[in-house]
Amino acid sequence: MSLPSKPPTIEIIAPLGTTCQLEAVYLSGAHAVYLGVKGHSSRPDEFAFSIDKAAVVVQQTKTFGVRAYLALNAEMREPSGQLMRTVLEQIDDLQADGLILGDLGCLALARELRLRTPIHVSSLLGVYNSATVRVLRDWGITRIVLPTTLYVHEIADITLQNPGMEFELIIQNGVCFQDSWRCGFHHRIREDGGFDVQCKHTYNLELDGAVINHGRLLWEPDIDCALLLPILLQLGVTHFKIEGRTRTSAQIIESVGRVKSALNYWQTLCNGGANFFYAHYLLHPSRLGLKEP
Amino acid sequence: MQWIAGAANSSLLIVTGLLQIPEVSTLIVGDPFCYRRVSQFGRLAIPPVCRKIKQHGKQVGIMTSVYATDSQLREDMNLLTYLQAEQLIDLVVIHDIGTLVECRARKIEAAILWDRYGFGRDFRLNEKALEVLKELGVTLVEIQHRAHCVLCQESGLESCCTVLGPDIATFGRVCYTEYLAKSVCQGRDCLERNPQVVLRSEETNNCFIPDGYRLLRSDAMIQPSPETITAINPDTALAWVYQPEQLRAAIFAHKSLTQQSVAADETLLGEE
Repeated sequence: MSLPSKPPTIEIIAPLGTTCQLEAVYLSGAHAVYLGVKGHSSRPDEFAFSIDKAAVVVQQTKTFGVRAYLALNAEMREPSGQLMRTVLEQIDDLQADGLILGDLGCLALARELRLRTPIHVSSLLGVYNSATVRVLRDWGITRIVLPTTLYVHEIADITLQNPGMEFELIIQNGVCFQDSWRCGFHHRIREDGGFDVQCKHTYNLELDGAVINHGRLLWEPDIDCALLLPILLQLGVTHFKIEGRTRTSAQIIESVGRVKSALNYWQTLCNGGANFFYAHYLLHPSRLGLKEP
Repeated sequence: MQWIAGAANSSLLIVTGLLQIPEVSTLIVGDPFCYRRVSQFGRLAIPPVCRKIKQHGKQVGIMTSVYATDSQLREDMNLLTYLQAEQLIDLVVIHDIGTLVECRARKIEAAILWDRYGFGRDFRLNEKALEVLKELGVTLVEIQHRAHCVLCQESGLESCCTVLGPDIATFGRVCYTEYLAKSVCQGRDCLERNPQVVLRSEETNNCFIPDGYRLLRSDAMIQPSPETITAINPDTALAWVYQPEQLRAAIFAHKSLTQQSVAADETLLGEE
């Protein structure tokens, strides 16, 4: 196994829920944006784009030198796949920098259609092990968004045994306390446009009718894992997603800013790219005694 | 329709009772989240139970991990490989692509059931996904609706429907029993679960019961009516029970309905 021949691309990916947030994203300095496609995204359609509007956004981001990833990561709604086939062909023509897919059937269609756009696997597919990564690599997948339910050592198990695959992780804002892609709790849009989920409710923990604990017991507060950036970089995770297509522009700017600060600090410590490689080499699988695939 | 059964709480104590039910063709052992729940000896307790099941002339099903990380996958595959060598395995319940591929690589010769944990929140099936699963070795797919059943038939896969089981609201990587009790599990603490411990929402008054890595909506089992099951018409019925009597009652209800339908059809034919 050889060391990478060029520095890996480190990327901060900001969410885009509405066109109003575009300026905020550019100002924040994010390297890329991700946006959902109406009817096919895991977020409500209020925070997604039609194909025509997505086309406009993709062109605008190119003008500003920012990459654009389109999320079609919901489960395929139509069993035959005919509609998705048409959508994928249309999306491919937009020349986005990546398509984020989360359904096995969608991935199969993308392979069949030999799309030109790079395919990223969403965390909603659930990649927990190296065996799955190898299958996806054989299918031509170029990036895997790791589930947020993995512990750091489990991320290491996957990333260090699969160099050459790009890995992405949500590093800021909302993650699920329950399983993120199979949770059976109700999710609904409120009248004010907010997102209502049962996990955010306040719960009383009762024992024989007496309340022994109280609070948002089933909810994960927003995460801020910017300080974990150096560890994740050394493990080979180089793409960092900020969750929040339903968030405000101010929140997005702040979140991107925190991650950029952590990244700049790390790069300063490493004196730029050369020392980053040295740090990466220290964790080369052979040094850790891991078996090469 | 064949019947596959397993313990709703993954305990091995129920196996003896389930072996006495003649309609059950396959018993599933193991837990999708935590093998401490199965036995204090974890996976080591599985082979003797498998031998017992085989001695009673029934087939053995093994549950694999939902969160099949590299280390869990290694443990699962070691168990499956051993059981394969001892000819103690007939069915593997899988929900992860990597686990599927590893089973094929290790030539595990057993039927493969892709169950509910392999689908997303909305439990949507589609033709292409079933095509991929079949290519990877899946032979049986868990379904919820008649439309799912038809999709499976068209894809050349058998369908399997849960006809009895706990009402699971959600699950995750944190054990709710440990987390809410703020203590480290001493081994199968969730099996001692106290149904009087509930989480009650202030906003909606909805209740949930912690049960290991799962939250249950209530203590009651979900049990689609025999009419619903007949309408769905799966190839196999899957039942997760706390007591063998629960399964006997479900089988009796289904058989009664089937006999009534046959009698009604015969009457109709007679009239014609």
